[in-house]
Amino acid sequence: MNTQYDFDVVIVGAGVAGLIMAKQILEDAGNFRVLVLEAGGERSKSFEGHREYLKNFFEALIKIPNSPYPAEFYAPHPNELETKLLNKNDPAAELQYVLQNGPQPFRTTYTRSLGGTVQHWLGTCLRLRPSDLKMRTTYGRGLDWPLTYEELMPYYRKAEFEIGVAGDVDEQKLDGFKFEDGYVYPMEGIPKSYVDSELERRLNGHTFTYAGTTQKPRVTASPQGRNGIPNPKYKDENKNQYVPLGAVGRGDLGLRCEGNSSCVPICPAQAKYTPVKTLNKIDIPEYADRFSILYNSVATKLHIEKESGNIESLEYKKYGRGSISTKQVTAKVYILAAHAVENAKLLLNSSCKNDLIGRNLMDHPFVLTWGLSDWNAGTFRGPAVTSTITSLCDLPTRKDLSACRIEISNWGWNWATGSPYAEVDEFLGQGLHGQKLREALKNNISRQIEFNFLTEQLPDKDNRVTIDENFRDELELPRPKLHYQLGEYERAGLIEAKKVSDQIFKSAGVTDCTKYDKKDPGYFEFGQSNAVFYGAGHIGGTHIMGLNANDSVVDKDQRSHDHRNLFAIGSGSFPTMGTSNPTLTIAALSFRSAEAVLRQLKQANPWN
Amino acid sequence: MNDKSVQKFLQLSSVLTGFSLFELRASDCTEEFYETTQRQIGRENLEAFLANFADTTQADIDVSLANSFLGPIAKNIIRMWYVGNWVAMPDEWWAAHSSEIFAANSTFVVSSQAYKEGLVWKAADTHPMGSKSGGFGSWALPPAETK
Repeated sequence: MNTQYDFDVVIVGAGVAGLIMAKQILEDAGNFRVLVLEAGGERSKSFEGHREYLKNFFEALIKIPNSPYPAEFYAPHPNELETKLLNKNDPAAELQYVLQNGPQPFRTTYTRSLGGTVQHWLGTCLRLRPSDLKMRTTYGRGLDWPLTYEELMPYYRKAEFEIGVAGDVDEQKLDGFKFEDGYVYPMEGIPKSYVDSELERRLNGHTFTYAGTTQKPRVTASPQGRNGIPNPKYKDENKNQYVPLGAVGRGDLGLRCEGNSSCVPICPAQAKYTPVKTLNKIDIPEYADRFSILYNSVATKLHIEKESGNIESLEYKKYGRGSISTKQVTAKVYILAAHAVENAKLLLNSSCKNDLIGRNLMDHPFVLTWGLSDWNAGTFRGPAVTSTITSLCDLPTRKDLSACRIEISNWGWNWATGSPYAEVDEFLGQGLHGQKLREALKNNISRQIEFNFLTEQLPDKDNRVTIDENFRDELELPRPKLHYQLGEYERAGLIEAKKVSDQIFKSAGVTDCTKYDKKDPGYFEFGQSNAVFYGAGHIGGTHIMGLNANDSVVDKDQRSHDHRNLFAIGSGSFPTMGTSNPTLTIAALSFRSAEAVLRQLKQANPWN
Repeated sequence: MNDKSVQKFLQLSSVLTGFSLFELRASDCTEEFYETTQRQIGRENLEAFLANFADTTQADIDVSLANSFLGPIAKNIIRMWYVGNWVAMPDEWWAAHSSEIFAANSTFVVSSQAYKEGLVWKAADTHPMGSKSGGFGSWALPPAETK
């Protein structure tokens, strides 16, 4: 054992990326010592803590993604309502932890506590498409990844096992994805909702036009990271069948998705994957002498050795009741897994030189459309989304406008209007009460159809995270400042959504009710049209991967070009976003990078 | 607590919400809602409100909902039953009828229980988000009405 360093590896952030990395290093035969620093608290580690989160959700007036997860005073995180732009002379803008410099608001947030942002993920586990990884070559837009789909395939399998993905490989193949022969997901597909099936049936035989092309609406069930029925044909690396992992602290619960209809922000059953399930595989007596996780510990600065550029130590602040102490830790390898904004904040605060740090901030900006069906859709049942219309994910039109994936809401207009609250207010305002109120609500809510058009945002160097010395958080760290806007490419894609929606609604017997409010922070105009965009909670870019320090921050192993014992992992490494939710790819990249970290640890001189 | 007033509050709630006494009692929220209302608008205002509904005919309710004193109270009680939230009283109402002993004029979720028992979910033939789920795969079935 090398005692020259406090640890072999220090990982910043106990979310999906960091905990998979920790697990892979600990499980290696090399007996490596791992420290994980988590900025937030550890409530999600116990069943009681989870119940507390659930109570927060029930008792939150506005049930936004971060509503169950209160921010720590010393490790704040943003919420979806904090969209005020800094330059508008609004004092409230300065009170937001993440400073919004505009010109448009970045409407996506993240979560700083054990489990990270994945605590309130939807659970969709789509892989990226082969063409998503070579946008530049295929469509002359964005960037190519330094990795191919084929290189990622084995790591997607590991990620699908770790997360516990329920899905139908044959349906994914029809949708253009490639899999190894005989591969199946660990669990059989989560059933499509009644809304999905009815739309599919009603749209059968219909076509619609999109950016000058004619398309068929293809309703495809999404692979999902939530427990379903184990697939008897599945065999893991040790030829074992898949056994679902139940709730944290109560493994007998949560073995199947119960359909609680609150995946975002919290799965009461914990049938949906949470990174705490990965933590529980390594927080065991066997690793007790070489694995530590410290909560309420905020990494503040990397100290860089002048000549080599290697990281020689990491400074962090541990906060407790009324006390803050500054500490140093040394390791052979340092891994930043604090998600895209916090990774960038730490790199910038450490005076890392690469000008691309913080740049190419991306999301899946989306617009909503909504209407009333002339049939009973049985809304507000099941996971938020069980199927998407995938016809527009990968067309030649990607050379001109942003691709999009259309999520079919199982929760009526919940995201569009705040249903059912808004409807209760509306009908009360009309003077309805008693039986009439009850019937009006039934008649409206059960027929609510909503589509979420998630578009691909291209990397743009001017969309970026910087830090501002003039605004500091409670630990005196410069706060992150976001510079963000949608380009023409994304605006064109978002505006096309409404035209597609109008046609699909018509074919499916749905009357459009979409209204975009000029006063909404996400309101924008494009040509003669307008819409309101939202953030999908999918932060990408800020330390993109590429071939060298001139085009990127990290290499295909997510290792820094400039600091050879430093890795920055997660969706911050994505050079492009595709139209798939990022978590599965984040997990796959962690599995892949863990191999690179292990190779480096086993070298005679791990700094080369 | 005045049992007679609570009973009256419950009966009136049934008329206002369109749900039977049986359904409302099953939610076990009556006393909490009565107390919340009393705390937010004051005992005298609540007594005056309840006294107004000697016999609750449809015509009475229509008139009351349009009344500037009774209407906002009635709507708040309906909203509390439907979604579990107490909403701040309108400014004009507060200016005219509040007193210093009232709780602050604020908007809040009454309790987890109140949220989970929200009638809007029952009205829409579903369950509250995050509770009382239908079980694995239930969402694939046709809604109750079209079975």
